[in-house]
Amino acid sequence: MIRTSRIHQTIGRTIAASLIFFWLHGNLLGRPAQGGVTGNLQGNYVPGEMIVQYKNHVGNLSAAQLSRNGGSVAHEFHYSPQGSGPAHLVKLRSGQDLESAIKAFAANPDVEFAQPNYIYHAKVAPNDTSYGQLWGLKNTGQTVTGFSYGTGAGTLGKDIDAETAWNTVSNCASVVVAVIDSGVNYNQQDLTANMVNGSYTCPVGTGTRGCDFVGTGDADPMDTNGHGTHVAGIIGGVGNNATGISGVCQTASILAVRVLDTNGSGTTVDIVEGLNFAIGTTAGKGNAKIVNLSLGGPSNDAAFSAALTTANNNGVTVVVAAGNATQNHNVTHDYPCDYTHSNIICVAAADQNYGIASFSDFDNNATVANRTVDIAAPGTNILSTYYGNDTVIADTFNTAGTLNWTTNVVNSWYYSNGCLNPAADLLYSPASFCNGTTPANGLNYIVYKNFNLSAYTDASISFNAWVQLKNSGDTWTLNSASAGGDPFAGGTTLLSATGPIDTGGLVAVEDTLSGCLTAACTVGFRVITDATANNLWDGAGIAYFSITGKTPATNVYSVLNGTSMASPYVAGIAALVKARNPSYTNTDIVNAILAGGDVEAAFASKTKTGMVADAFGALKYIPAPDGVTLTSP
Amino acid sequence: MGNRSAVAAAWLLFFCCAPPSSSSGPRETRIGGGLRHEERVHGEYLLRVKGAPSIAEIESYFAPYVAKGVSMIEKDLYLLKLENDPGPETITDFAKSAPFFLSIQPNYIYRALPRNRMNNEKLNGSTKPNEPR
Repeated sequence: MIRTSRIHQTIGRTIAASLIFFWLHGNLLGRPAQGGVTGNLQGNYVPGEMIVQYKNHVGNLSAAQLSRNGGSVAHEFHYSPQGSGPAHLVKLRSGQDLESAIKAFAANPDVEFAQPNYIYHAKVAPNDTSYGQLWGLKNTGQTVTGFSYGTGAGTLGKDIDAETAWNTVSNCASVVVAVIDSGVNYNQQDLTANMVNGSYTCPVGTGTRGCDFVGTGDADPMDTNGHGTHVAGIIGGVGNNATGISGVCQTASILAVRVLDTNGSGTTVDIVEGLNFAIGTTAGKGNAKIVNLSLGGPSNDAAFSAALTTANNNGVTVVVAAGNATQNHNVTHDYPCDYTHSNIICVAAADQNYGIASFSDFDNNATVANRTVDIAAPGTNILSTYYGNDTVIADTFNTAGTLNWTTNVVNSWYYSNGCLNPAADLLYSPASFCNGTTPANGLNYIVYKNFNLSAYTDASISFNAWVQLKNSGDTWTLNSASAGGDPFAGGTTLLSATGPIDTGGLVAVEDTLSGCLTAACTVGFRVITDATANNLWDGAGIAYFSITGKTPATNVYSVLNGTSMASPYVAGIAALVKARNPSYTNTDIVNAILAGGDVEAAFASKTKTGMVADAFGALKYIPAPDGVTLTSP
Repeated sequence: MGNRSAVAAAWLLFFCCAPPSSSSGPRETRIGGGLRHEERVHGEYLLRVKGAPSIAEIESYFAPYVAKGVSMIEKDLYLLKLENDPGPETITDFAKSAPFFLSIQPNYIYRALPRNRMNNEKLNGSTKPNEPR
């Protein structure tokens, strides 16, 4: 009988300890996967031995005949899974190739699956000092120190099963993983050994750790935001080095591709250039096979999509974050998650109990196959490496209830703690914003304050604003001035908004102050009204104002939340799978991750798979053989 | 007089900048609770071309909008910077007549996706108690 078709089979979990096999029953069995093995086998297995599981219609006699066709039957399993046929440990003939033999057996329609006889070891947790905080790798129900989401505690076992996966592979150094982000602090103590060290052709100069594509770009992808360094640590923080954390890959090759600025923003141009560099295979390019994109935007972007197509053609797996706006992608799109390229895995955020994180985007499309959010991964209270130290300079606008910012006109800007509900320290202008009157026409009200930022290598500003202005000539503006004084007299405009507008409440605003790193730096706001009549309550209010000064360091870690943190878990798993199976295509890797997750009810109507990613599950995936010919007796 | 009903504003949905007719601001207007405008870099477009036009040809074609610079991103893809930005719709209509035109799009803005400022969630309920709505 000759078979050449692809075979879809069911693989049962076989777990053995040190050459001893145990067939397990119940929910560990019957996980859907595809039979056969292709490519170069990696990991620990007994040379010259394979396990063959026959289907239940195959009798003992015919099974023995079939097995002997591959070699000698060394062991017949007495405890096969219910509903399955005989199972044999087969010793291959001398010189027979294991990979070819498995392919041949897997192609036989009488065979449920064929696989190497893997070697397992007792689990040993890495000795990283903060390993106990890493619930995503091993959830013991621990409370994460410095948590900012929920109670900080979780449920035993709700993790990506990293330790079991590490029994097979923990070293991903053969696979370049590109972190396309805000850069990476490649000097961080838990990252530096796992960074690439090459010769890369950057927009300007030659880089060793990657390249910087922000603006005109350069050869230094150093992170000045913190986000990219956090992402990199989740993927490939150095493991088992008695320091800090461990990544999903304990040993890795992280390529830093900086496309987001200090404020965490980047453009199509930055990203397309960075992505093309990362996936390029010519000299001086990144040659990455796994890419992580923990970023997003609302625009269907043809140039970005084209670059992702190139990545697909180059065999690159791209893992992306779903978004943090509790947004249903069946209703409101976000990209790159919603691109339909087959090499993209879009990841939602799971909490420590494997519920969906309150902020996580999702997709509840009734046609499950059309959902763009594929799978979830740990995304709350994630401890990882960080860029350096953040010094937060908070300002409440008042001293003993009196405004302590400088104004250009008396009684133009005000301080109040009684305007908003719930109460908050508020800087606002004009008086109408809080007392419900109608502001006069022709106002030009400025308020500003000095912040000494000379001690920092970078800084960002963060506040919440409520802006409501009626007319197109009404404006609200944020300026800064490195030389000090009135920032609207020669300063730099950072942000502005024009009427008609009503934010309908406070909205979070942040921007960079990288151009104001002086002792004299001033930051200020201005409200202008034109000659057209205004509405009641018009004006602008500012609350929760702070400036964050940044100083680099090599030993800093941080706890963050977000789908940005979930995506690199999956990128790390993708690297594990690729490292163990170098011949896997990006399709194989995507299939392995999407088939190997843990089914979780919270994601049943939220993602395509209804699963949370599982490293060990992904490693067990075996792609279907293609074009295999088997002649059986 | 009743309490103002709060409109929750997602923290991602913010801000930004200069009036569309001016190039002095860094980005287009982006502030607004519940708004879902596309974000883009004001005055910057990505132009995909055919027929290998020179940079001078591209600059010349877009001269009515004062092309400040044209730089190649990859083969057949250029970043076009305009002093006077008429907006995506107008510039698309204008570009379609160019002999080298294949497509044009804004230079969109993307953001990192951490959720590290959880305080924003409680702020979404802020109201001005006495403002009628």
